[in-house]
Amino acid sequence: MVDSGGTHVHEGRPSFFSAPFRVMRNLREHRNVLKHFISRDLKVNYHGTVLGYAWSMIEPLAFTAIFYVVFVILRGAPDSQLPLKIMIGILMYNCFSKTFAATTKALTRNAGLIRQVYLPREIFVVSSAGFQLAQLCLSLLILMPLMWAWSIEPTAFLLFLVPAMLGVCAIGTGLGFMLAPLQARIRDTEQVVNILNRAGFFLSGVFYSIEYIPDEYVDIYTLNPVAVFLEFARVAVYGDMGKLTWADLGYSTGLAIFFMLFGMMIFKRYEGSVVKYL
Amino acid sequence: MKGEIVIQAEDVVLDFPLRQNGPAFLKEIFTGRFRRRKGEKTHFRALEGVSLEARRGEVIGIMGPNGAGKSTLLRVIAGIYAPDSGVVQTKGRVTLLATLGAGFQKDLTGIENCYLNGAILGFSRKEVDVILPDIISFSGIGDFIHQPIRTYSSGMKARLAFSIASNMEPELLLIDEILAVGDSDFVQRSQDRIREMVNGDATVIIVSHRAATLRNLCDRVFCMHRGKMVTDGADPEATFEAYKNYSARNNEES
Repeated sequence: MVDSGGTHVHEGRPSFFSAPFRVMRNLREHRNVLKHFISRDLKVNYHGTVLGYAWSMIEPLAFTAIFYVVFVILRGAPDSQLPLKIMIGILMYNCFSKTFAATTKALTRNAGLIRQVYLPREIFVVSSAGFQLAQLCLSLLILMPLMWAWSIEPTAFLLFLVPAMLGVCAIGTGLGFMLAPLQARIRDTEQVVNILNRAGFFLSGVFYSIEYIPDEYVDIYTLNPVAVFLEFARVAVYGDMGKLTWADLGYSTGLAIFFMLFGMMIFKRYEGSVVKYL
Repeated sequence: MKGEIVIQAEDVVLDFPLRQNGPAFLKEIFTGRFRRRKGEKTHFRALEGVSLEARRGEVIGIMGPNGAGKSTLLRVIAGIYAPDSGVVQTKGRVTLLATLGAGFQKDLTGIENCYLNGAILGFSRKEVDVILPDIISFSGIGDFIHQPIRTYSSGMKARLAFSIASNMEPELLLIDEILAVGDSDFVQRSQDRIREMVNGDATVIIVSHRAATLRNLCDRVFCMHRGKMVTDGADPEATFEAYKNYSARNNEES
């Protein structure tokens, strides 16, 4: 399915380091399919529900209400902002963990299609990730009424949401790129990923924010790029850098890009040979 | 340009791993592969040096007993499996029709699936718009096109899938035993459609067990057995004969 007319020698795998270029070229050539897959997943996700896409917002709203009852009313937490902070944390972390899990399973989940139609296999990984990113965008719309309810002034800091969202998604996708071929070979992989996601949940500051980390440990805490991106989403909402620095953002972004590129290299190295196991 | 070679497969070899699963696989990791007993098979050779050439506008039939490697060969040509050795070259847009409706999403309507399937086959929304009326009328499923695919019978799904694929004007169409589905009227119409496509310069490879189908449609018919081409395709009747013999032998052995 290359441009018609041209000879297509079924190309072998690209050299290790040129893999990202091949992946990006394939994605650009097949962006139409990519768009269709993502919109298909969105359509199918809330298929048959009455409220449809509204669920992406109702769910986090309900979370916030529950946390409000538990932490503010029942436990009398001093920080009345806590429910909102936790909700942002959950949305961001869920995007990471769901992306990681979904991209890991991208090949096995689409085995039927992969065996019937030739498409560059990275499309399945990236479309799974794109769907999660789209979901996160929908969910974060709930921030607008919530910020209003908590009377938080929107600032230019809100722009930090963009790198934060792309960042968590990119790290999940990079890891998924690495593990998707392994998952095709050994189906136990996804179970391990689920456990890692659980552990990561408690390491990434979902239920606490960086203010609660003692100063001497902040440097260690910010080594975790997911925690940094998650915290930057809070920075975006509250318009205050807090204990974070631009260096943290630079480091995490660099790491996210590295994960993506390295993931693509690993993926391209092994995906061809694992198709036979699907 | 009729006569130009558009599909060329040369000495294609393809191995399938014999699957190790569960505890056996774990043991294999820990004890190391070097301790594998001699003569223990780890791979199954599905294609043993198959060569095939197709020229533009040709219709080629492939027969063979179950497990001969026919479907595998089509998948190699379609680019799904990379050959372990040998070369495959294709020229033009390749469409593989195997299990019909592989790309179908059961909760989306027929129309939405046309666009989705079109995208999978490399067509933009606008291009699908142009051929959508033809797809719907050829499939003959009427108003059901607005219903989700899950409400379709398997015959209807097959008809819609064939209708989509054939209306996309593929340059190279690989058909894997699907012409047997649908009622006799649809079978007749799809045979006519294949003939039309051939006149319009498409190249078709058909895998089928039915000599009658192939005799009607094909310029050359090959027979495969155990991963090899066993006839040269020049004489269809000889191929049908060979097919009968090999199937009989296969059944005796098993």
